[in-house]
Amino acid sequence: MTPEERRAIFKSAFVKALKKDLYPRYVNGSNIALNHLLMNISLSLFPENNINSELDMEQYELTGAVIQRSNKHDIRQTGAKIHTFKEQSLDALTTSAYGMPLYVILENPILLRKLGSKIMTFMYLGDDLIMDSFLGTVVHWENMKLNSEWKPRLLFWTELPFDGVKRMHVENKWFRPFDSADKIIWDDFWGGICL
Amino acid sequence: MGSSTEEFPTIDTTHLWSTLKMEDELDDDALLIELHCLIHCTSKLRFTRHTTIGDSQYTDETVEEGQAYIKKQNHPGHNFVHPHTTRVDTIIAGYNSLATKYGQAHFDIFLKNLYTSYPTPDPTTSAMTYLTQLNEGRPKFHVKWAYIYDFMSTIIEYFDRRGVTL
Repeated sequence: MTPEERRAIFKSAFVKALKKDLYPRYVNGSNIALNHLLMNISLSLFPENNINSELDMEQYELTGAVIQRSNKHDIRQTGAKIHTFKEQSLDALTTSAYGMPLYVILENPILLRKLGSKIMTFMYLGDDLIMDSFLGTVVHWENMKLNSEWKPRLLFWTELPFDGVKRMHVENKWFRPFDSADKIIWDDFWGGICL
Repeated sequence: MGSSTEEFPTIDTTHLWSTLKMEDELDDDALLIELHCLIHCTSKLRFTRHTTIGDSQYTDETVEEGQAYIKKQNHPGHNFVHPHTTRVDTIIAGYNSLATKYGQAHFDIFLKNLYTSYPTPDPTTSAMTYLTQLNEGRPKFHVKWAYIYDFMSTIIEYFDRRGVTL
């Protein structure tokens, strides 16, 4: 893939995704830009036999993608592995986590006592960098984790299996990327972004 | 690993932007991305080590630390500048910077169209009227509503400061 092709795919996916939050079906709903970014990139890289074109994000927008249990359930439907962070560092993440979601919990027993906690989704960009789920900002985790009011803590990250199993398989469509051939394309795309 | 204290106040200062060579792109899609990121970067949702909660409604008022925080929020001092004021000024400065980058006339037309063509259920209702009505009687904070409200209200402010009423 050429840098120009990579840029065109990313830019197109980015614009389509941010428009989902700028022109939402539910103005008071949750943000779903990251979901759409990953879906659009998948569809651009794997236009054939891809069930992602039929994913309905409406329930995410209505109820929020912050309910951890249902979130994990949906992630597992794609075959993605869920890894719990053992350290408050992104050092354990390898290139296989490029472009993948990771989850952070905010919990301050005094300043956020009545809120309980809040879970936020970020996209891993390599080199300690993460992008928020609104696709609006990029920050360093090592910087962000020092926030003394919100007290952010890494929860888990996700990793695609590329095991060739056709998950969410309906007729001639299934979740992609899914096998070793897809992995080459997927890694080439993200490897050119998360240098 | 990059410098952990490095800040990225706007999207075009990030590694992502330079790696993708987005600086070569000066079309409307690139402009929309930069505008979107500008609004978001200035919001309280942008986390750095210095981002504060700035709201005492969730605070445990039964403990000393909580009481001190509530007091600080309620009595911020004479030199206090509301974050909204700072945010609006930062966004307007960002708009001016983008106008220089993309061309003043083109930028103004793009921004004006963004506001005037914003879809509302009633075509005779402006975006700001629609957004204000939508939140009346609903004190709960919605991040997406706030994002769109900040976007639309700062467009009006940008043109107001230029003597143009939308």
